[in-house]
Amino acid sequence: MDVGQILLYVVVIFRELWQRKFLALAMIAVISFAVLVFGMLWPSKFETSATIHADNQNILGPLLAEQARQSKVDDRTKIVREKLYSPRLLSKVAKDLYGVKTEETPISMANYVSELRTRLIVKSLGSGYISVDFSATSAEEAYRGLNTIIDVFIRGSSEEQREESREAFLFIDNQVKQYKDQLVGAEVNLKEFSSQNFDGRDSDVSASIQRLRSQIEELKISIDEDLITMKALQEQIRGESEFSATTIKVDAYTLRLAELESRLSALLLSYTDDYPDVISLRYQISDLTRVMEAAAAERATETASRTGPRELDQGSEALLNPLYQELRSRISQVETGIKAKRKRLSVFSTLLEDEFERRQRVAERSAAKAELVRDYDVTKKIYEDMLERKEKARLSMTLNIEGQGVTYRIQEPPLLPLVPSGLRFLHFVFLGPFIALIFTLGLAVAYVLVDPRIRFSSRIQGFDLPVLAVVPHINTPITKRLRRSDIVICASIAFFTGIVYLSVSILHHLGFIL
Amino acid sequence: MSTNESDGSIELRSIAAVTESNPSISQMEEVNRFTERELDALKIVYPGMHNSTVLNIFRELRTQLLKLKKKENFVCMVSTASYRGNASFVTLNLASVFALDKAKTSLIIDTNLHAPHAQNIIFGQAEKGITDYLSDSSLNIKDIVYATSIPRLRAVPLGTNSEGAAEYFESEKMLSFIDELRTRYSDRYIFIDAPPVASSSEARILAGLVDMVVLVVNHGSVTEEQIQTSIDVVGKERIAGLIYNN
Repeated sequence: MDVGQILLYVVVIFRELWQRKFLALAMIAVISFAVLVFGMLWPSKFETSATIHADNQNILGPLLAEQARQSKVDDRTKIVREKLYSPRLLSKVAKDLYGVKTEETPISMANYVSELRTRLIVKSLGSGYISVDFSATSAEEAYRGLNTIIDVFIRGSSEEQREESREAFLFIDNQVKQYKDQLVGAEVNLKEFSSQNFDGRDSDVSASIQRLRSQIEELKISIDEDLITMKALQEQIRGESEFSATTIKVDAYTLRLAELESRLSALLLSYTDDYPDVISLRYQISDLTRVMEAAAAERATETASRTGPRELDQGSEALLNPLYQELRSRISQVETGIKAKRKRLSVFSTLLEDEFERRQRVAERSAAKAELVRDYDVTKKIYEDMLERKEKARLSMTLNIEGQGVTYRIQEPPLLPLVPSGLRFLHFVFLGPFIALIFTLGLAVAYVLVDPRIRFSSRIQGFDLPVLAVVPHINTPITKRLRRSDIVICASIAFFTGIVYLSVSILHHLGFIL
Repeated sequence: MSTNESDGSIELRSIAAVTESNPSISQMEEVNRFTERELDALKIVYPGMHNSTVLNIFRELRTQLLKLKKKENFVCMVSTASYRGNASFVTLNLASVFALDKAKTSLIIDTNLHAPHAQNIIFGQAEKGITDYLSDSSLNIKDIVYATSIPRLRAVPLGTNSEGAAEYFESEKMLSFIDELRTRYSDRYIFIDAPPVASSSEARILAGLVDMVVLVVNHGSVTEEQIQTSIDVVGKERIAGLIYNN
């Protein structure tokens, strides 16, 4: 669409309007007044704003580091918004602001709360700053409302925070107690189990089995040894007679002879051969030797004549054979030793079986014990963790009680708004004629665009017929005069309407109307 | 407009009023012409008029129509596509502009049953018109052709017997009437002011009798469909062209 075409449209639209000038004027007037009345009824809006700073930058922060949980500032805006919009806070505010009016009907409180909510705007300004806007129909109300909201919020939030951290502490404390009980229970269980179970550890059992086995081996070897020894001894004893009477006689001579010879040797050391004692001794020795020879001969004959078992010589001194005795005693010794060792062996075997049984039991019980130990370990770990948390919670609680946690500070207190914000009556006064004109013009434009009747000569060129002429509009003197008078009439109507419009506006502004 | 001119026009008007008592065709002295003021009021073009573009447009129109018929005289019907079309204005001015030429005369036949217009220009009071002529065999052509206040322009009013006009227009008499009007003077150009073709059977009948049809499209009163219907009704070959009237 170039300028020429737009101009054509403008001309056509204006022509349509001119044809319906009184209708158009009436429409403009009606719409203007409608907007004006709307503006009169439009509640003026006063807005006030406050800035809250959610601060957790305090001296304790870096000192405590991980030890105490401090709420993050980033979440603050969200939390502040939630809190400010919460029905709990708003109903408190409504009660403060409107008093008994909120209790007139069951839904009046809900109405007040929802109204407050629509009038409240919470915005984050970044880095912990939060702006809270509140609007109302009067400056006083806006100021009072925002003040109340901020007041209730700040008071409520610090109390809430204290309550919150105290509750957290109590909760964790409670948990700690529970876990402690559990831990004690696990300990008792473990102790009971240990007290009922003497089998010891698996390694103990193994060691004892090992020991028993080696002892049994040793015993077996020792018994074998003893058996061999006994066999040898029995063989030996077979060759020896039980008694040795003659031998004892000979032995007595021999002993006497040895004694005499030793006396002789002793005398010869100090005396010569011709010393009487020496001579006597030599006699005695030769006598003894003779006796001995005789005895030996006698014995030899005796042995030859007698084949039966040797008996003790009648009338002679019965002497036991010492070797025989010796062997006998040793055999019996070895026998008792073997008996004792066998007994020990059987005892050891029984013990070994016991140990095997014990090992079975130990294996069975170790599973149960592992479970108990695990239970104990886990409970202990959680308990220790909880204990640590409890200390953190205690610190956090103390922080909040001291007011050192996240705090809300009023950075910019609300101010009493002097000028209403948003659309004011003045705007409507100006807007009325403007909207009316735009609307009427728009209607005319729409009419021209929508109406299928031809208003442009160019439109009849599409009929495959020559356009012989385009006759311009001809004004007769009468129509000219009529138009002039129409212009005057329209202008005066517009003028008077304008005057009425302005006076109504001024009267409203001064408070005489509505 | 100066006071002198207006005084003069009043003077002329009084003369016209005097002669109004005897509006007979024999008294066509053509002295009782319209003043410029009256012409302006009737939207009739005249040489030296204030708005010369309109005059030039009609002159151009005249040239185009003459070209179509190779300088023979013709019967042209001026019709519209809807009732709100203004055929009378175009007919009147076409006839006027033809009559400006001293070598030509023009005749307006008013058949616009809904808005007869001829009386506005006829000098004196017209009594009988074309419908009377067609229904009454005692009437002569001379009795219904009236002089007007425009030089060299005659007019045939609608007449008083407009019921059954369609039948009259269809009659042999109508055909011979038009033929006679055309052939009697070779310098006479005949313009028929007709009702809308699409919605009037009279106009459709008339369209079959004339040499050419001119369709007037009035500003903001006709849709394209209506124009197309009108063209289809008359037949494209009979239409000389369209005229857009603002």
